[in-house]
Amino acid sequence: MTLAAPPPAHPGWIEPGPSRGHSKAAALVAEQIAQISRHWDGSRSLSAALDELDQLHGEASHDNWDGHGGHALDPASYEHARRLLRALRLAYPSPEVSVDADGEAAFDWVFGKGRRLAASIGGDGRITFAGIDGPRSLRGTDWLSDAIPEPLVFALSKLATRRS
Amino acid sequence: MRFLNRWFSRFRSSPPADPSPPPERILGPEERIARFLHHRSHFSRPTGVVKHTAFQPPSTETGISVAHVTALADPQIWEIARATLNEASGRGQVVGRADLAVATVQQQGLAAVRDDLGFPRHTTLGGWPVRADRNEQREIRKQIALRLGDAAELRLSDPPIVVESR
Repeated sequence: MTLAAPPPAHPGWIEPGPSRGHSKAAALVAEQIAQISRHWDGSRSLSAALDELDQLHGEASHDNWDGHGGHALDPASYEHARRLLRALRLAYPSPEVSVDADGEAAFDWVFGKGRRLAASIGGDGRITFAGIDGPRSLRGTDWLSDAIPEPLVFALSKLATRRS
Repeated sequence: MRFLNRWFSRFRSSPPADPSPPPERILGPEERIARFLHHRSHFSRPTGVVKHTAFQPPSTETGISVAHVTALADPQIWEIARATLNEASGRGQVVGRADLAVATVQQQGLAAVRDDLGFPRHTTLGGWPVRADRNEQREIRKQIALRLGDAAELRLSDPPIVVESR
């Protein structure tokens, strides 16, 4: 796949940790960030994706949960997936959620026939993704850190914004 | 017959693999296969999407189970689905299936070999790539599964087919 457009400057940050500031201004900023997070968490598509992930946390908690020999959902993968979903909510549509046969939380974004992106996240925070756009394809591996990995953001941006 | 050589070498870690499948067992591109879905999370009911996880095998396997369904009517296919059920964990119901042309799987470098193991018309969809680099293997397999999910036709069983209690 030809990657022509630059990724957004701040594509999606992972939930910030507790503020180290002690001033009134720092407290105000922290409260505003918390309010924004609560607002987005309440959005229908994100809450549906988080609910689905929570349900799978229970239903896929044992091996062969899928009848095809799939491994149980890795609890660390589940936690990473929650963080990733909440980070993605600011800029991208919520994905379809499932669990892959290796026990990794998995996402599918479907932008149209022949235009899809899939990703899964391992217990160590490794994200494996693959996309298709007609005959073109892309794939990669990166790690979740303080921000959504740029290659994943780039792939999402590319597929989400391309006109059919 | 480079294709078959590749097939044999890739199949070494699949448990019931036939080391030399007779040619008549290798399904041609015009044939149809179905992947039975035992859990609702492998598809989206509102959008009709089959997710890539419906097809992606565990990283230790090189094949997945499907059924050879060419020319069968829907009720006959659901009867095969019923034959896949048992009381083992995860195998108590079939909620749907993902239908595919064998041509589609061949385009991804996979092969469908009918072996009738376990249930009538059982077919192994084999040849999933193996790489020394595990990350690369995951990426490639995810891409293949994504293509299969994109091409698959979702058929739902309403109500789900459930295992008959003894």
